[in-house]
Amino acid sequence: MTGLLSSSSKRSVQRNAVILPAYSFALGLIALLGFMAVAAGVKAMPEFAAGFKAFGNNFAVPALFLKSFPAWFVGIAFAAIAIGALVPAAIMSIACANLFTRNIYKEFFHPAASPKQECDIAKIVSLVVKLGALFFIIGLPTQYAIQLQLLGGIWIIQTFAIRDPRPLHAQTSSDRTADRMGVRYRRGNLDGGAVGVQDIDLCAEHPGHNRALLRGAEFASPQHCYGGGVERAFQRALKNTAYR
Amino acid sequence: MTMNPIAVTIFVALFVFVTVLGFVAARWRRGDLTHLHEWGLGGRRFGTLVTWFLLGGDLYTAYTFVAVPALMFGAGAAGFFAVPYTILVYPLMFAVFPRLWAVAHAKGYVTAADFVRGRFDSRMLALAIAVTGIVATMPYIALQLVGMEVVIAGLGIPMTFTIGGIAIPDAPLLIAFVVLAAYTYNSGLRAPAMIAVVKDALLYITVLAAVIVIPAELGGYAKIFASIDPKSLCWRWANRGILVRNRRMRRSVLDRHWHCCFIRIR
Repeated sequence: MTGLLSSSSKRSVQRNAVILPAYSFALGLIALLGFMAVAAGVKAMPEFAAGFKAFGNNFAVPALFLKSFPAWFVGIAFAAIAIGALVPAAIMSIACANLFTRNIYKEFFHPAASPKQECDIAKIVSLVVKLGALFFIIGLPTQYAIQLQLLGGIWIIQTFAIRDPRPLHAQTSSDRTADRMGVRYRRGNLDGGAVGVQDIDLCAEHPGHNRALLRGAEFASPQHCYGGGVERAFQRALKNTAYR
Repeated sequence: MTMNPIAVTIFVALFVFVTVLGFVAARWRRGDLTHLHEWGLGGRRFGTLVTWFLLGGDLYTAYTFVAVPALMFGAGAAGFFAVPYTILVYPLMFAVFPRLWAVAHAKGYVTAADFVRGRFDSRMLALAIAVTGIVATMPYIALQLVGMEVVIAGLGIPMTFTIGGIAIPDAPLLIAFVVLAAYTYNSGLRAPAMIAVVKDALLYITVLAAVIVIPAELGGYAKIFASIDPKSLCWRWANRGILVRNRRMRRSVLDRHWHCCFIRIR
């Protein structure tokens, strides 16, 4: 989320959705390292016994690298993993800091906060969050962190599903499909979508005016609302997301 | 585990390099760092490529690098779940996020909860989203430390330092996190964005080397796959459900087959 909001244009967000699967390809290769570790038989090697005892299967990749690579490359590979821990930790702590500052501190405690005060609070919160994470690891068993991370995913998904406000009997199955995808949409097709695209941007500038426009559209074309399969529900959802 | 001086030297050198980069990042695409959108969103000035590195850095982490192969190592092919799991997000991202970005840009939203606040006009809903986000992210940060712990131990660096007779557990982790905290505080989102480029370069080099060098040492991919227990190529976790269904299906297929034979014999 933070990464997406920090990009410079709509276009670059879209392009990223297209080029990010490159990472998934790399991930497939990374996953294969697990099989390589099995084939290399690292688990049976006495020099890695202590590592496997301390970290379980998580030690498979480091053991494989230690066995297969010369020392200088082990340094590079391990640095890649360690730096790979720093980057997300930094991004996530910043995301937490932004959330706290904007939606808790400014909203409930200090609505008149100046930009500088906002920023100072965010910086401090980013430190606190990292301390908290450190406490997790040093103070609690690792398994807790994994379980809580999984729970975290579940919590986030809960907030993602926003219900259609109409009573259930007034919704069609395609409405509910779009609903389940977590997007709230307007009834009505808005003249084949062209308006749908523009009005999002207009809405951002003149919310009141365009809300009226949208509301008018809702009544103007009820025949576009109901019926239709998943595809149409999805299309409609796309056209009419983001603003209400 | 014994400490290898060459590996440790290169590891530490890269770590120091990245730290310097983290502090220098404050000057990159310079902005007024006393504003939240400058500190916390890099001034919304990252182009396609930097965003790609940043998102990649956020999605593919140390824990991924360690835990996904670990799952393949222990549980077998089930570990591949991670690949489709990551791909699921992209179509949604393509469809919905450009809009979200446009609205956030026009209205100066910094967080997802800001958007919820503006759209649904509810402070409490925004609060709920913010709290969920914070509580759910914390353990994920902690998990990154697990990945780091494993490689530090793999290098043979002792985890407990004794300074002046007082033993400090997990000292390398503490040092790494204090350094991280310092440059995040100083440079905001610019620091991880810049470091993410280095991290991914290293990561891709490592993966590329690994998928070429290791199979060559082990005698090729065919040999690697041959050494895997065939049972672990199935999705063992789901076995119970699938097996029952399969058995029922198999039985019905067999029944029909028997039936045919029976008719033919008769």
